[in-house]
Order: sequence, then structure tokens, then C-alpha cells
Amino acid sequence: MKQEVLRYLGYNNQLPDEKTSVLVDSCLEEIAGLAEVRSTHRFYEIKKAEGYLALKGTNLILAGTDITRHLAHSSVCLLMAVTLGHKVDCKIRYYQKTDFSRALVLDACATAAIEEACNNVVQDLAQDLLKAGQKLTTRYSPGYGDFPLEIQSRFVETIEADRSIGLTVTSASILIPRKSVTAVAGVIDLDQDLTPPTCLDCRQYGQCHYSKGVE
Amino acid sequence: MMEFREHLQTNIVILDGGMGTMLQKLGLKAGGLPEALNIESPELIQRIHSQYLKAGTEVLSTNTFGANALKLKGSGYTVEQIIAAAVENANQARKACNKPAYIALNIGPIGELLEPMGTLSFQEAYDLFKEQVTLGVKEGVDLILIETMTDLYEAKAAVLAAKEHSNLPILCSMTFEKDRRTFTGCTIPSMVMVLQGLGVDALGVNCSLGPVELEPILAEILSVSQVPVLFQPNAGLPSVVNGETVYNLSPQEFARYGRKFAEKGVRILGGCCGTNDEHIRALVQELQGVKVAAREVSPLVGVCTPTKVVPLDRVRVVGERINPTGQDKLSQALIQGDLDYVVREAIEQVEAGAEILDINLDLPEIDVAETMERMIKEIQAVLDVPLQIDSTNPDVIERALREYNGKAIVNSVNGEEASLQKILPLVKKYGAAVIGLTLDEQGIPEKAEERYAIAKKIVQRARDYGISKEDIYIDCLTLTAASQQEAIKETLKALELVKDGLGVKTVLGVSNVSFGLPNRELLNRTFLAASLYAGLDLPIINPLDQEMMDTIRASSVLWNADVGARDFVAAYEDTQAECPRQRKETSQDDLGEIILRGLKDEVGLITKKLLTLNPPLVIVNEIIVPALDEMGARYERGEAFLPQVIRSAETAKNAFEILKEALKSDGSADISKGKVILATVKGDIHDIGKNIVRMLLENYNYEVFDLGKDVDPQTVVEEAIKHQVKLIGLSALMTTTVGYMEETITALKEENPKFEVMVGGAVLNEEYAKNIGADYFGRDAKDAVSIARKVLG
Repeated sequence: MKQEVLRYLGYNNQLPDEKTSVLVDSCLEEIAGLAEVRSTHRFYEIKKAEGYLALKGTNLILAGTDITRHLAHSSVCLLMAVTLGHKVDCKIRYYQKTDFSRALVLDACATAAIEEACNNVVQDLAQDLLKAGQKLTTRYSPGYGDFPLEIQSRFVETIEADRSIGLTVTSASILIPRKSVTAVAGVIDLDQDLTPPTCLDCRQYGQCHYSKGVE
Repeated sequence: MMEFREHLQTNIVILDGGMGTMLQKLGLKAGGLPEALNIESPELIQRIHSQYLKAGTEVLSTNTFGANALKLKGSGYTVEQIIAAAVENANQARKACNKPAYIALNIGPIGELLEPMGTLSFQEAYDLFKEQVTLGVKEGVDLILIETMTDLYEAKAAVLAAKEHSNLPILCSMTFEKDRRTFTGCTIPSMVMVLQGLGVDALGVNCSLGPVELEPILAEILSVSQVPVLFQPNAGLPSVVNGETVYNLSPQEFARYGRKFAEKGVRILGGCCGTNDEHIRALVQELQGVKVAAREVSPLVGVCTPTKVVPLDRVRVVGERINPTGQDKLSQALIQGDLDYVVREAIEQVEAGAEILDINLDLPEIDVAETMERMIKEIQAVLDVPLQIDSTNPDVIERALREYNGKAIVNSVNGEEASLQKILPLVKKYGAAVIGLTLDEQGIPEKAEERYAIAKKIVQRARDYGISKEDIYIDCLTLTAASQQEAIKETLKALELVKDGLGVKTVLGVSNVSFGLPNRELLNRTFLAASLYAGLDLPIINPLDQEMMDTIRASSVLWNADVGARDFVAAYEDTQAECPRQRKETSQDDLGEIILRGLKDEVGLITKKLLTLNPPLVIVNEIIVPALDEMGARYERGEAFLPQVIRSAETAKNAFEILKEALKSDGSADISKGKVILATVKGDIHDIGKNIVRMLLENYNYEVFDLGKDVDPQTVVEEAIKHQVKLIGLSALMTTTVGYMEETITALKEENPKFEVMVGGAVLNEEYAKNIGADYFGRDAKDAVSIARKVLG
């Protein structure tokens, strides 16, 4: 996880100085104590339509060519939501008043922690799917590519993430608590061969500070 | 039919069960809007109401859980339409079944969170609830049921709106998780203290879990709540089967738990998710013949924030430092609107051991009420410490109590008739605690007995207003030894009289005693020890004074409050091992190198040393700025990284604090290079990037007016005019908020085409910035400094 934190802080495989390294370690420890990871998920049957996907039994529409492509080989998809809870947000606000370096590094640690929490959820589910000869595509979140961020609110309501994990959405479609993720993944057959996407597939390629060394 | 309040006094009341889960069973899609069905399929809603009525429900809850203006936006319906139809549906069902039942206006959470967690202001939340309440009253509902709240602040907004716009009974319940907290961290005693204080008719818990899992939570509420308790659990724990949520508790099991809880004193029972008319029917049958049960209550004594309760079961330290009297730096910060300084002052006190903070902002130069509101907001965004509102101005007190999230202390009321009449109703209305000063129209009486008489009067009058004894603290007033030496022991004597005779908690501002004498600390802590011996509960002191804190910790051991001396040992066990305090020797005496290495704790000493040899401006221009430039260049070349840049910036900032003092005292010219406004635009709450820019700009001596996050376009324009600023920096991180960035730029340019705007944020680039009318795009904080240099020099 430390490697990821450093990448968010702008390091590109370079070694951090001693002070930064110690700070990152200490913030990783702190985030482990602060995070109250909660997650929820549902599987839905996909009903394909021209330019969008509908999910059976819901009012949710997944629009855009990117998500359509992402789920091209799936007839069922996973909707998931994960959050680290409010304590993390509060502590980051606190350090911004007292120790800004720590706020910055803790923020990066929280981002790494939420990614890891998402990976754990997906891994657990993948274990179950394995028995049925299935696996999951990578996660795809509202706001990626042309998959609109504006669906956050309905996304959260559909899987009842408000009630089950306390996730809320502002009118500007920002998730609260801040360190939260909603994502979609397609269920595919085990033998389906999908090359995992790289930075080169991303619309932000070339402008992004966080590229994984492919520049 | 009997009035609901009257009915509640002598009966166990049966509510209805779930609405949303019933609708889902009948085909409502996930993510659909249940409230629309009031208009689209009234017969469906009426059928559900009728089912509940036939099962024996006494209170029908309208299908209006999410009927607020924010949730209904884009639905094609207004709040008025939905509430009118929903109440009509309940009425129709009541008529059709020919059964008496109360109709409760159901109010759920808004769906967006309030500040500081989210972006809604308290007032906005209040207005949304106010609209619902007003319409419910118009349609003739019998009571108001606020439920499934997870944020105590939001619950407070709803209860206040209901109180101020109706005379109806108010029931309020919150949703707790297994860890005995709500999702936002609210504790059970905090909920009880605050809701009870606001005067709800009943409080309790609903949703989230089944009766089995909620039992310990319910038990805790029953043991402390002085108002009737309400309970609406789910039909067991939810589990998801084939994409649908399923609840497993049978009506009979559900009802058996209902009976068990009724026998323990629960007064209002119903069901939440997964329950249906069968659950209610079984409950009604099970409760036949069950009488209202008495329960033992140990009232909560203390104050709280949503996440933390400070019980007054032992001495608690009240931090006195947020008070402009005799504090030039704090006054200056308040006048300049630098609330960050005040917040840091709050943090320092809490870190030093203060458990409650006194907030006094009495300064003729500022709008005290407005500053008080902002101050409270800022403090509760980062600290969970209860506050003591220090003012005698009713307007300041009321605005503070509204804004404050938790149970506060009002400091103070006194024995004067005018004071009692103005302050006590506010204390009662907002459920605060209050400090009564033992003085009246004749001033401070000399004799202890006379002060006791005033204390008695205050306690009596407060009781008459309905304030409970536990919430009245008496201040017997510390006089100064320098001028009224013989009066000191009268204070202590009065304190003892009050403790013995009235049985209320006591407060004293301790430091007053030493005014005008040398070695004030010695007098303060000696007087403190004597007061603690006399029974003082809440010393108002400077917690940064280590010896005062030592005295309190020692007293807590000696008076058997710190049982087993646990806290004492924790605080001092390392004392012996510690060698005499050594000043950390700076390994470096090159200020530039210290800044580059980010040694922020070592920079003070060397800066002071340099000041003995150089004028401050030379240090700034010849050492600090070149060091910062060098760091910037290293960052540019990929040799240094963001954490190092920030550490350098913080180090330079510490140096500047010292240099600014020096500049002030030697009267040199202002070192400000010009003014910049910074804001994270409306809708957006990502402010770390903006704060980095602020730090760097300040390092280069630009005067920054930081408007914060989620800033309205009009506010940016107003502040730009007010401070005569040329350069405005805007930040936005989301595609959804860049629209507001454009709107802000347009508003600025319309006001004055000479305003220059720089923008930054993850979703922006050079071209995008041009398209929305910005003059400059800053890729990072370093760019922002270059732009400021270009525009302002």
C-alpha cells in the first residue's frame, strides 16, 4: 500500500526521503485505526439497449459508450459501494489546521485504503463466482470516461447504500463520506480473455499526474 | 378522540409497520420514488394504510419519508402536492375502515448531509423541514414523526422546525448500528441529551437492525431517557437474496420482543423495514393487557457533542483562552477574520486537556453574533469538544445555540430580573445548561450568605422555566486578591453553601484571583486547589498552564475521582525517566537549508538568532524566498516531491510568524506583495489543493483571503470588491462543479472586467480554462505563485 500512497503523492518509483517515508508509515498506521470500512453490493441482470444499459428491477440506467463497452461480455453486473466512514474526513480536516503535511499524506493514505477496501470486496465476490465458473471485470466507477457522475445519487438509492452503509451524495454528485467509492463490474465467464486496461486506455492519459510509469 | 399527548400519558401506543418494503413487495422498483405513488396510485397507499388500521395500528404514518424539496427535485411533483395527497390517503383509509387513528406526518432524512460532513447549511436543512411541517399542519396531521436520522444536527434542524411551526407532538428516532453509534458517529447519550433538551414528546430508535440486535441500544436509551421511548425495529437482520432485501423475523417472534420491551418501559411500538400488517396484528395481540411499565431513569448530567459526552461526574476543565480580553493576538485575528488562528487556539487547549471550551468574542470592532456562528461552525468541523457560549447578549446566545451541534453551556445568567427573563427561556428552548452568576442589581454581595441567596433565586427561577437542576451551574465569582483580599474566602464559603444547600454543580473563573499581583501562576494554582477542596466542579482556566493541570490531576486522585489514579499514572509515569528539559540543539544554523529540509520545529530558534544580526526584510528576501524558489525548482525537476514542498512551506511559515512580529515592532513597511482571493467553487468540497496554493502564496508574502469551500459565486464577487483584490484563484475538482466555476468567472467579469482569474483542479487543462473564461490556468501550486508574480509583481 505504501507504494500506492507514494504514487498519489507524486512519486514515480523514486525513493522518498527519510522524513516522508516515516510520515507515510505513521499515517498508514493511523488510517488503519480511523477507517470504518463498510460495503454493500447487489447483482443485476443487464438489459441492453441502444447506447445504454438498463438493470432489471431498477430505475437505474447505465449510460455511455465506455460502460457499455466495459460490460459488453456480461449479462449480469455487480454494483458495489464502499466507504471508510466519517472519522477519516474529520481527521483530515483537523490536520489541515494543525499539520498540513500530515493532512496531505493522510489523505493519500485514505485514498489508498479505499482502493484496497474495494479490491477486497471484489476479491471476496470473485471467490464465490469462481464456483460457478465466472469472474469479474475490473471496476468501473461513475465519472470514468463518459459514464456520467450524475448517476451517483440514484446508484446509491438503488443498492440502498444510504441505509446500509450511510453513504450520501451531494447535489454536485460528490459522495459523502469523502473517501467512498461506487463501482460497477461485469460478471464474465472464466475463459473470457480480457486484457486489463492500462493508463494508455484512459481519456486522461498524458494529463494525469498519477500515471503508472508509462509516460 | 383523545389528544395524542394525553393518550400517550396512560397508554402504550402502537404505530404502523414498514411502508417502503411493502411497496417494494407490491412492485416498486429499486431507486423509484415511493412518494410519487401518493398521487399515481392512491388506492395502493390507501390499501396499505387500511391493512395497518385493520391490524390495530393507532397511528398512521404518511407516505412522506422523502417528501422534501431536495429529494423531489426533478420528480415533477411539489412537496405541497405530495403531502396533501399523502395525508388525504391516510384520511381516506381511516374513513373507509371507520377506525379512529392519529395521522403522523412522516419526515425522513433529507438525503444530503449537513456541514461539516456535507454541504447543506443548518439553515437550509431547517428550511426544508419547515416546508414539510407547515404543509403537514395545513393538512391537519395530528403529530410529527421524524425518523431514521443518523445525523444529530439534522435531527435538531427537523425538531426545531417542527417546534417553531407547529404545536403538535413530536416523536424523533434515530438509527444506530451495532457499534452503538449512528453512521455519523452519534452516541446514544448524545442523542438523548439533545433531543430531550429540545423538548420532543418521545425519542427512540428505528430501522437498521432487528429487535434482537437493537436490544442493548434500547436498554441504554431506557435507562437514561426522561421522556417516553419509541421503538421501531426492522423485521430482523436484512439479507440480500437475488438482489432483493429479505427480513426473516416472523410476526410472532417480532411481537414477543415487542411485549418484552413494553414490559421494560417502551411506550411507543411499531415496525420498520420488512414489517407488515401481520407483524402489527401480532404485536397488538401480544400487548393485550400489558400495562404501562414504570422504569428507573438515571438522568444524564453533563454536556455533549454528537460524538462525545462530557459527564459532570468529576472535575472537568473549561478552557478560557478564546476570549479577547487581554489577548492582543486573538483580538487582532478576530478583527481580521482569521478564524484559523482561533481554531488553532481551540485545538491547543483541547490537546492540553481542556474538556469544554469557553467562547467569548466580545469585541466592539466585530459583529459578535455573526462571528460566533462562524466560529462554532469552524470549531465543530474539527473538534468534538462541547462549548460554553460566553455572552450576556440574548441575540448572540440564541444564534450560537442554534448553530451549535450538541448540548452547550450558556455563560451566563445572573440574579437580575432582566437577565433571568431574557436568558432562561433560551436555555430551556435549546436544551442547554446554564451558569448562574451570584450577582444582581446591587452588584456582587460581599457575604457568602448573600451570594447563596442569589444562587437560590437563580436555581428557583430556572426550575420555574422547566430547566432541570442538573443543568444549572452556579458561579460564586472570584474576586481579586489585590483589591478585595478579605473577599476571597467568602467565595469559597459561598461555593460550599451552594454545594450543600442547593446540590448543583459549581463553576469558577480561577485566574481572576491573581490580577495585579506578581507570580500570578502561584496564586492561581493555590486558589484552584482550595476551590477544588470546597467542591468546585468546573474550573475555567488556561489549560496550557501545566501546573494548573497538574493541580487538577492531583486533586482528582486525592478526592477519589480518578479511581485507581489511572489517569494520573498515565500522565506522569514517565516523569522520573525524563531528564531535565533540554532544549533541542539545532543541528543546522543555515536557515535556507532548514527550510529546504523542512525542519519545521527547528526553524524558530535560528530565525530569532538571525534577527539579532539582520533586519527582517533581508532575511525574507535573501534567505527565505531563494530557499523556496530552490525547492520549487527541485520539484519542477522531479527531484523533490509534494510532501517536501509542503514541509518547506510550513517551515517558512513558522519563520514568517516570528518575522512578522519583528516587522510589527520595528515599524518597517508592510511586506505584503498584494492581495489574492482563493475559493473552492460552489458545490465542491475538495480543498486540499486550494489550501496548498494558499500556503505557497503566503510564503511569497501575498495576502490571501481564503473563502473556503463550496463558495457561492456572489460571495466571491462581494469579497473581491470588499478587499479590492485584483487576482482571484478558483479551484474545482469535479466535472459536476466546473459549471459553478464558469458561473463565478462570469459574475466576476461582469462586475469588473479587470478582475483576473486563475483556475486549477484535476479536471481542468489550459484549453478548458480558456473556454470557461479564466485568464490563467495553474497546473500546480508552483504555477499559482508564478501567476501571482506576473499579475501582482
